[in-house]
Amino acid sequence: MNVERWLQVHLVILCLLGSLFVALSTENLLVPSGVLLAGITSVVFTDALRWLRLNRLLGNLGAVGAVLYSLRDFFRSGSDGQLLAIASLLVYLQVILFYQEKQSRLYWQMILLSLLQVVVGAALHLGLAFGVLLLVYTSVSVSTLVLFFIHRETELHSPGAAPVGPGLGHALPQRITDGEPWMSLLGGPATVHVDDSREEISRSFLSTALIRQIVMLTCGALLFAAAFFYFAPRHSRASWSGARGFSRPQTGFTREVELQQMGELLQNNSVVMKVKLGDQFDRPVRDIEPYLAGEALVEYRTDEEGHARWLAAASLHGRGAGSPPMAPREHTLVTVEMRATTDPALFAITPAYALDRQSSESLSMNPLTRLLFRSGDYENFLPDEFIYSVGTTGIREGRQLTIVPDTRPDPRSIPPGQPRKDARDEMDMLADHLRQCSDWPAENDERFSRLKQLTAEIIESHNLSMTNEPILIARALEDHFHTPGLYTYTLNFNFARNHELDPIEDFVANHHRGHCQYFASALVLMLRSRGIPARMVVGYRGTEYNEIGDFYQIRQRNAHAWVEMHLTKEQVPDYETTGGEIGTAGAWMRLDPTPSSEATDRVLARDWIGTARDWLDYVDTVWSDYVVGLNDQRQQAAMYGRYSTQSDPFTDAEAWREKMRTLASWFGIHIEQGKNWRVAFDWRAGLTAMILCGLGLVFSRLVKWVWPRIDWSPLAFWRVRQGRRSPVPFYARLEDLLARLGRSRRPAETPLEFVEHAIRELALAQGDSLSKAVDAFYRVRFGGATLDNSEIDAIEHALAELERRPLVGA
Amino acid sequence: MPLIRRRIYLRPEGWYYLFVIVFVIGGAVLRNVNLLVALGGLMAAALILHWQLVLRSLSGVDVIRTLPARLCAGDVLDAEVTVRHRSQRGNVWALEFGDRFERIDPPESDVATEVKLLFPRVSAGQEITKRYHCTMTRRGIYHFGKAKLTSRYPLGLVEGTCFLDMPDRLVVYPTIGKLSRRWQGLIEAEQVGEKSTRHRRGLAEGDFYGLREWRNGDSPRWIHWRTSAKMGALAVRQFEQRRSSDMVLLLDLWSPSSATLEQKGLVEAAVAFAATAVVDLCRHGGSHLGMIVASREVGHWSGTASALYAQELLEHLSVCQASESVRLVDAVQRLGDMFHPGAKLIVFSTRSREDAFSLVDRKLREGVKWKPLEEAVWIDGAAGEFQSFLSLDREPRA
Repeated sequence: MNVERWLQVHLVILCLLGSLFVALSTENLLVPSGVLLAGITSVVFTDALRWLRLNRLLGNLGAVGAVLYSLRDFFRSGSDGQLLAIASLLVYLQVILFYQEKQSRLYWQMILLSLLQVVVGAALHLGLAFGVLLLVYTSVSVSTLVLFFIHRETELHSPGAAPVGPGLGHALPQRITDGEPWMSLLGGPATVHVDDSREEISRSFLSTALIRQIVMLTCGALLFAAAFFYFAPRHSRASWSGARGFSRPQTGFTREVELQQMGELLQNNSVVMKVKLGDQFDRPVRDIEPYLAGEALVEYRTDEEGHARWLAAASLHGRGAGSPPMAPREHTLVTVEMRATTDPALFAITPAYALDRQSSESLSMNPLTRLLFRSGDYENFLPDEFIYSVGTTGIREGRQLTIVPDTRPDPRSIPPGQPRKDARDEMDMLADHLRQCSDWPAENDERFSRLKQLTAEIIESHNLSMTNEPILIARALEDHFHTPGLYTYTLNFNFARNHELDPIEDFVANHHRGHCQYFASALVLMLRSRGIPARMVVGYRGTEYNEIGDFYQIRQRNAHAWVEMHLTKEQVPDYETTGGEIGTAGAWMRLDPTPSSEATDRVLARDWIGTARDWLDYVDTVWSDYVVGLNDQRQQAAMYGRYSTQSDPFTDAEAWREKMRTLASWFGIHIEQGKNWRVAFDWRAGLTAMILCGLGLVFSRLVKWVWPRIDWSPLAFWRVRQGRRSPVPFYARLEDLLARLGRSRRPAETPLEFVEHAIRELALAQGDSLSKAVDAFYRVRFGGATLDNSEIDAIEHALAELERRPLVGA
Repeated sequence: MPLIRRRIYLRPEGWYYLFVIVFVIGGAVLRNVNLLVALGGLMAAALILHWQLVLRSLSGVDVIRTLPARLCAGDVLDAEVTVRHRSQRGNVWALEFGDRFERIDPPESDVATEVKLLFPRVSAGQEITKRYHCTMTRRGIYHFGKAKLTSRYPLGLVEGTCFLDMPDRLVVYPTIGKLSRRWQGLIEAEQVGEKSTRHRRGLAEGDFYGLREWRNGDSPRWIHWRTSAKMGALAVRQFEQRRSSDMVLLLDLWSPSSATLEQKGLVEAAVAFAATAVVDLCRHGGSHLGMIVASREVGHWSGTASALYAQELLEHLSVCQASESVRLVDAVQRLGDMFHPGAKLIVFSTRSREDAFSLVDRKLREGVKWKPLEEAVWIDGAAGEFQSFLSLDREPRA
C-alpha cells in the first residue's frame, strides 16, 4: 500500500472518529455507520478502482444541497438542535468529499471538517467517552497529518511531477529548431532531472522509525496539552455544562413534579453531585443508600386536560427563611459537591444542621419544609458549582433513620426571659404546613374513590381499622406497594390509559405501573385520605458508592421521590431511634413505596467487575471535576491552594527579612532593626569570613579546572550571531579546540597569527596541517572558494588529532 | 557549509491552522468550554512541537555540493549533493536541498534555475548522496550561489530554511561539433602550398612518432598495449608524422542590435565552429595557433596548440558576445602582431567579406596591413557555408 492509500485510510478513520464525537451526544450510531460505509466505498471505488468519481460541479451542487438541507434543520431547532444541524452538515460535506478525486485541497478540507466535528462534539458531550475518543483522535490526526505531509513531499519530488526548475536557455518554437540547425545552439527547453523515484521516496519514509516519531509526537502533544490545560488561567467559576438536553423527557430532579402519562422516560446518566459521608471520627460511612431530600411537595393539582402536578409548599420568597440550626456535638458530616446548576435547591440527609456560622450564612432553610436551599439571589444564579457541608443526626449505627425530628425550636425549650415570638411563628408555620399536608377536599372522595376504598381495604386487612397508630397504618400501606407482582416499576408509559380518571386513581385502580412519583403520590393521597399529614419529598437516592474515592456518585438517574409523614411527639414510639430528641414540632417519618426495579436495584458487586466499575466511576469523577468542570476555584485549589492558603511565605517581605536575620545571626552577624539599623559582629563572623574566602578560592580553582572541559559547542550558535565566532565551521572548531587547550585568540590577533602563536606556544606537532587549515579558512572566508574533498579530509584529520591531544594539566 | 541565516515561518496552511487554534481557544475562553481548551492545547502543542522538530532538523547537518570541472554546451551536468548528519542520535527527516544557479557571463536575462532534492531520512552519523542532472544548453560561466536547506517535517505547517553560502563556478564551453572532410581538405590543401611552413617532427615518414587514441580504421597492429592498459582506453602508435602549419583563426562576431533568432543562432554557430576548430587543431598539437575574437572588444591569444591552450581558448569562447559594432580594424592590427608569412588565416564570420569590409572606414584601413584579411579563407555563415564544414553531431571532447 502506498503513502496515499495509507493517507486515505487514515482520513476515513479520522472522519469516523469525528462523527463519533457527535454520535456520543445523540447516542445514534447511524451517522458513524454511514460515514464508515461511505469511507470504505470511496477508498475502494473512488480512490483505488476509480470507478466512481464526482466531478467538481456535482460536488459543489451536492455541497449546496447539504447546506440548504441543514439550514432548514438549523432554523427549526433550538440551540442544541442547531449544533446538531451543523454537525450533520459537516458529515454530509465529508461524504461528498469522499467521492471526489483526491487532491491536497480536498485532503485539507476533510481534515478541517473532522476537526470542526470535534469542536461541535465538545459542546454537545462532556462525558469521559469524549476524553477517551480525544486521545484516539489525537494519535490518528497526528499520523494523518504526517502521512499527508509525506504524500505531498513525495508528489512534489517524484519524477513526472511539475518541472523541478525552469531550465536554462530559451524555449524555442519547434518549427524554428526543425528548420534551422543552429537554432538548437540557443538552447531548447532544458529540464532538471533528479535520481529519485516515488517508490524510493515512499520507502524511505515508511518505516518503524516513522511510527516511533508519530508516537513520540502524540505523547509530546498530549503532555504539552495537559500542562497547557491545567496552567491556562481560568477567570470564571462557571464552566460549560454541555448541551441542555434534548426534547425527549429524561430522569432528573425538578422542584415541581408533573406526572407523565405518555412516552418513555430516558435514563439520564449525567452526574449531579458527589456526596461524602463521614462520622465523628472522620471515617467514611458506606453501604447505606442515603435519601438526600431536596424539596417537599404538598399541593396536588390536576388541570382540565388531566395533567397532574405536585407543587412545592411555598415559594422560597416566603416569610421566615432562615439559617439552619447549629449541629449538635454528635453528628455525621455530609459534604456535597454539586455540579453547575441554576437551581437553588440543596440536598441533604434530614435533619440537616449548619456546622459553623460561615456555612450557616451560605445555607438557608425553608421555614415550612425545613429543607435547605442556597442563600442569595437564587433567581439570577449563573450555572455554578457549589460545595457545602452540613451535619446530620439522621444516620446512626450505619443506617439512615426513618423517623427524624422536625428541627423547629420548641417554644418550651426557650429559657425564661428570652423572646419566644420567633418560635411561636415557627410553630404557626408548622401548623400551616401540616394543614397543607393534610389537604383532602371533599371532591377527592369521589375523584379517588378506588384509592380510598383500597386504603380502607388494606387497613381492614391488617386489622388496623380500630387503631389510631399512624405508623402501623403507614407501614401497611407502604407494604401494599411492595407486594410481589402487584405493582411494576417502569419508565415506559406506552400502554393503554384511562384518561377519564385521575392518573393516580388510574394507577392504583387499573394499570399498577409507574415510577417513584406515582408510588409516592399514591401513598401520600392514601395517607391524607385517612387524615394523616403527608408530603412527597423529591431528591436523590445514592446507590453508587465509589470505594476508590469513598464517595457517593449521584447522577440524574438517581432522582427519587418518597413520602414523609408527620408524627406528633406522642405518636413516636419510644423504641424507635429518632436521631435526636423529638420536640413539640414532632417528627417526620420516611416511607418509600417504590418497589425495586432493574434500573434502581443495583447489587453492589465486590468482585473485579465492581472494582473496575468503581475505578471507572472515579476516573469519570476526576474527568468531570478536573477536566470538564475545571474552573478558577478548582484550579486554584488544585495547583496553588497549598501555597495560597498559607500566609504567603514567598511574598511576605517581612517573613523573608526575619529569615535572613536569623540566618545571619547563625554566622555571627546580628542585625537589629529599629529606627536606626545596627549591625554587630562576633567571633563567628570572622570565622565565617575565613571559611568563605577559602571556599571562594577552592571554587575559583574548580571553575578554572572545569571550564575548559565543558563542551560549549552546543551554545556556539549564540556566538555566531554576536559576530564573535567565525561562520566557517572548521575554523570555529579549531578556535574551540585551541581554547580548550588553553590558548584563546587575543584581541587584534589575526587568525593566521593566532594559529602560528598557538603552534609555537603549545608546541603542536600538527603545525603544518593547521597552517594549511588557516590558509584554507582565508580562501573560504574571504575568497568564496570551495574546498575539495582531499582538503576537507586533511583539515578534519588535523582537527581530530588536535582533539585527541590531552588537556593542559590533565 | 557557511550558514548565512536561518528563517522559520508559518506556511499558508500553518496560518489556517493557527486561525483554527485561535477560533477554538477563543470559543473556549468566551464560553468556558474546558474541552475546547484541551483541544486548543493539543493543536497548539502539535504546532509548537512541529516548530521544534523543524529547528532540530536543520541543526547538525552538513551539505557538500560537487560539480564537474568543465562542460560543453549540450552536455549534461551531473551534480552531486551530500548531506551528512553530524548528531549521534535521532533521524533528520524530509530535508529538502534547494540549489540555484544562473549564467553570469554572458549575463542571462532569464530566471535562474532552481533544483530541489529531497533527502527523506538521514540517520545519525549517516551521509547520503543524491544527484541531479541538467542539460546545459548554453555556453557561458555559471554561478552556483546560495543554496537552501529546508525542512517542513512533520506536518508541513511550519517551514524552516537555512540559507547556505556555497559559491561555485562552472564554465560551459561552446558546443563542440564535428568537422567535415571539407574542413580537413581545407587544412591539408594549405599545408602542401608553397607558402606554408612545414615542420618535420620525427625521423622519417613511417617512423614511430608518438601515441594517440584509437580511431576507426586504425590497424589493430598499431595498438600500444601497455599504454592502453594504463589508460584504460585503446592507444595506438602514431607512425605518420602530421604535417602541421601555423594557423590563425579570426572569429568575426557581428550581429545587428535587434537580431533575429536566426541571426543569434548564427552567432552561436560561429562560436561553436571556432571552438570545434580549436579543439581539432589542438588535438594534434605541434603547430602554432593564434586566435582573435572580434566583437565590441577584440581579444587575441597566441600559443602552441595543446590541450591546455585549447581549454584556455574555449574558456574565452564560452563568454564572447556578438556586437553590432565589431572593431575589425583593431582585429587586423592584432593580426599583424601574430601573423607571419606562411601562416594560415581562417575567418569564421556571420557576414560576408564584402559586408565586413564595407563597414570599415577607408581612412582607418590605410594604417593597417589589410592584405592577410583579403587573402584569408573567409567562411561566411550568413551564406550558409558553416553547414558544409560543421555538423552538430557530437565529437569526442579534447
